[in-house]
Amino acid sequence: MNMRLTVVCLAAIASAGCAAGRGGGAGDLAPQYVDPSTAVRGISGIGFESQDIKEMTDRMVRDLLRMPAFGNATSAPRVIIDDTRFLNESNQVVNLNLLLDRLRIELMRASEGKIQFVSRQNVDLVERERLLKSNGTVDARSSDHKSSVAGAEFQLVGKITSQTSTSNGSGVKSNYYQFSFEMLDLRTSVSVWGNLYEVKKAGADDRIYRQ
Amino acid sequence: MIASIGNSLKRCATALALLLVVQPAAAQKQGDDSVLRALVGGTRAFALGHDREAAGYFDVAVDAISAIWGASPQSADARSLWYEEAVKPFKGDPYERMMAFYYRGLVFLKQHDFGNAQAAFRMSVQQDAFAEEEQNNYDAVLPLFLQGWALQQQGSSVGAREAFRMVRELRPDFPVDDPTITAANTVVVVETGNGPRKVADGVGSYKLRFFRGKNFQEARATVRLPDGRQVPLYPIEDVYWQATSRGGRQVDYIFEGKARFAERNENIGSALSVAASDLAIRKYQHDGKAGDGMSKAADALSVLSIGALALSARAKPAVDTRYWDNLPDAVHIAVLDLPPGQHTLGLSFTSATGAALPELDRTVQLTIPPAPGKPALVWASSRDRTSRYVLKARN
Repeated sequence: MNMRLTVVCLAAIASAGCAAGRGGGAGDLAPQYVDPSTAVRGISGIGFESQDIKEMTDRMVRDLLRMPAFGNATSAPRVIIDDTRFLNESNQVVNLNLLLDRLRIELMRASEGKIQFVSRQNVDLVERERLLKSNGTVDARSSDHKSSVAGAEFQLVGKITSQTSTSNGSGVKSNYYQFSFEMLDLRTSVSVWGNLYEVKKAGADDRIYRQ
Repeated sequence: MIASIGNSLKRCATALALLLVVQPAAAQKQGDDSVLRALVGGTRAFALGHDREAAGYFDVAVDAISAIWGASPQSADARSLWYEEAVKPFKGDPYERMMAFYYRGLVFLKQHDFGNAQAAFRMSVQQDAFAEEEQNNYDAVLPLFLQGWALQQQGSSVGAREAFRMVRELRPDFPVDDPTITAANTVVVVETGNGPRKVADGVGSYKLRFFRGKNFQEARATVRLPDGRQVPLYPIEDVYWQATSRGGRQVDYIFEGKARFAERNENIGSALSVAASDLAIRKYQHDGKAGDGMSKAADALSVLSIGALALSARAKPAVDTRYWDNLPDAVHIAVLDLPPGQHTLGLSFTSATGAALPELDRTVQLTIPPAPGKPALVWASSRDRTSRYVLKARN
């Protein structure tokens, strides 16, 4: 009887001790491939993520291809899509190339040559090659001398802005992101197309981290 | 039979006391401090001019700070009675989070990535926007000014003007007007002193207190231009003030509750122990059943006393005192319009009473490109930004 009671007591205490002593990682995840258009469980922020960029650029491609200036053009319009006039006024650090490269390449593929893309940021490469050809360092085809560097008719400009709200009581923070895009006609400065895309996310830290 | 149960209970009490006191001490563990190490490593790398390395460190830190940290076993442990707060992974207090984004923004500024610089400074401002005391819930002027500077360089003039307007609203004595900022091509950021320290106070170390950094005298800085002009830098941010002006944390009541629990159980345990001792002595004054009964009661009180004392000893109300130890005490700002070419700027420091500190004098080289070139960032510190964590890793 004595022994049994002592053992029961010790077992109860030991199990309580084990329960209290737990710890370890918050959930280990073995490396695996993940669909970029889905959110990864366990990685949680309230900024925009890959699935937001993918969804937004997919919608933009559809919208831009329906634009009359592109759809009704007799010759392929030339467009600049780069970051020279794309402003980040949001609270999120972002690699704009991630967004703009995807948009340009998706448009390139979907338009099947009906739109031409002018790579103005790489114009120095063209000038260097021309110099090498003109001074005879490398050979040149006869047609090379006739072609000129392409001018553009349109340029995509845009801006990312954000608004953050916080509830001191609940600790919930939310971020609202607005991506605004406009297609500028470089001959007239008229904005011939524009659209907005929005992302809003909210979340709260565990209260041990709240202030 | 009754006597044997009493003996068993005594043995259980002894085992309970041992397990409650010894086991939790062994189970105490320091929470993940990879964010803290990234912060001190990034600061040291930035001070040495290793910008890419600094960017890597600060990316690790700000990614973790930006993430939403939901309930985890570690955070549950930190809230529980049986663990100190330091078992939680380190994410920093608001002033540390604010400074993490400030440094990340400075690296972007040096790389002329103004869009991301303003994003980092905007996040820095937002770390300060959650203070409990309403009058102090948005007073971090350093990142606000730099956000305006980065927006201006990006071409976002409306946002820049709004940021500078807010700087003046918060600091009516801010000495630089908008046209001067617009015409400037150089921003000078100078850090002085050593950052705030965290110290645990109160019974069981349940109160978190901040103290100003030690071992420095410098409080003001002046930049000497190549033409001999001396421009005093504006003391735009007091990091110690940012650490102390936020009021209480939401979790403070948890640690206070833990301390009260420990104190209450200690008092109960002590009182029961005194009563048990008293009975154990008095039982010899009685014979027969009365003496036996007093003996049993003394044993029972001993068991309860040991349990209460063990619970008191096991409760861990101590707060987390890990802190970013190579932060500055204060940051100073000036904007300059320098002609194109190479320049040597001199920096000198004075104490709060105006005494010169020539041992801290230093020079900074910079090159201003021909207009319209990219604006320059001059960063300097009166201290070398070493950290006990970095030294520990080297040893």
